[in-house]
Amino acid sequence: MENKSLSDIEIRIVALLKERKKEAISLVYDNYSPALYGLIVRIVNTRENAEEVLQNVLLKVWNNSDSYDASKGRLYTWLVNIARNSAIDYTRSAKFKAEKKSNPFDINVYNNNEAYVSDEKSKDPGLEKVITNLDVKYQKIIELVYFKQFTQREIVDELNIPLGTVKSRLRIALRELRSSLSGEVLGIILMIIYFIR
Amino acid sequence: MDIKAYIESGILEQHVLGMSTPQESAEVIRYAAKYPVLQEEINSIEETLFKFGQAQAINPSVDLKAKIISQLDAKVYDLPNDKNTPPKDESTGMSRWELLGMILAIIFAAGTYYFHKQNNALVNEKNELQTKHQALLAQCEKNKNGEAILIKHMAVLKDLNTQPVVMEGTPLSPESNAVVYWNGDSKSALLNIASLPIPSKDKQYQLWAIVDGKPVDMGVFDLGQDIAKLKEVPFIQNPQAFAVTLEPLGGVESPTMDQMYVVGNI
Repeated sequence: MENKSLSDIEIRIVALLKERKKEAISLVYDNYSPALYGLIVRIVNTRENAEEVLQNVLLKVWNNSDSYDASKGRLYTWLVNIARNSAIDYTRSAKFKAEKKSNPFDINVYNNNEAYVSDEKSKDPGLEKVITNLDVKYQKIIELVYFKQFTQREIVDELNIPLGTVKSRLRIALRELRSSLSGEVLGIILMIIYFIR
Repeated sequence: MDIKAYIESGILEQHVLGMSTPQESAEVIRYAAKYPVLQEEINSIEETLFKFGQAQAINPSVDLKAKIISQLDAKVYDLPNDKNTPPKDESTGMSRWELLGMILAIIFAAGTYYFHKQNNALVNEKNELQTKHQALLAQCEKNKNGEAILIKHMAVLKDLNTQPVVMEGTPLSPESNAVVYWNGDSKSALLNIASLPIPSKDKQYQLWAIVDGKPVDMGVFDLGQDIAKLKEVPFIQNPQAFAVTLEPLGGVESPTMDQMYVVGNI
């Protein structure tokens, strides 16, 4: 049923976009901006930056609506990919690099849970059990990535291992988990990895 | 095809997350159309993506929406051609307007350069034309002056009172001849060098009038380039004859008789 309402909204938005009605963007904003904003902020650090990126994202959506093809996937998936790419683009800008230089401690304001709209944190007990069955080094990686939401760089510093090693351990850990977990939880882990910098 | 292995390869997740190549994505879509179970898998991954987004959603500031809506007409952005999943390394290129502006600037600069070059060429041409014009004016002036002289000479020639005095060649130069047009009324005299040999560089021809049996100097002359033209010579009263001798440069006081080329009596 949640699926149904989700796809109803998407169908409506897609139709309005084709008709070049600005109401489409209003609906996108109302339904998806918090989710997109949350993802963007993970990557660009500050509210100010994230708002700038979100603006860019919505403009891109408006100007490139004819490049969305329903046969390739959901509208939301398309939106998320635009958001992620825009945010990563932003981190490559001179402005962002300059900010990073002057703020090397890279404090992610949103590490604390209060900022989140939803109170839910997926603390599935079944997941924890499965993780403890893994080799220790893979456990550690999952713990840092999923539970503590460390960035890749933070993991490198914490574990004193190269970035390449972090990435490959994650891949292997996920492969191990996949065989024992439902796709949903695994997917969540993947998403986190997808969005960490 | 081993559907299980295909699913376990993680290619479906990569496709949904925009991490696969265009070829891989095209393949996923093809297989998903063929095998419904794959499409279900994809749907479930997308569902997870959505839930994850909801789980970590953060509200932006309240005034942002209005800001965004109002800017919808202001800017133009480009997405790469790849539909739905933009390529991983989408670089921050120029917006369409910036590109247009740059193209216009280049066209403008090129146009300016072209016109500058053309202007220089035109200025040069103008200067050249001015020089030519001055030359032509000078020539025109010369022609006018020449014409005035000719008219004057014509007047003398046509005057019934003008006496043409033909000087025939002497044995020294039998082929030579010249004419003096003498007008006692208007007191003018013209010399027509019809035919005289070119002298050596250290010699000049001198014209004489014989008055009362004595030679009177009428000046030296050169053949010149305008052999057809007449030369104005001094007016002497009561000449009995005219003669031309070849003398050293600058002439002499008395004619060298054995250098007489032409002579004629009135």
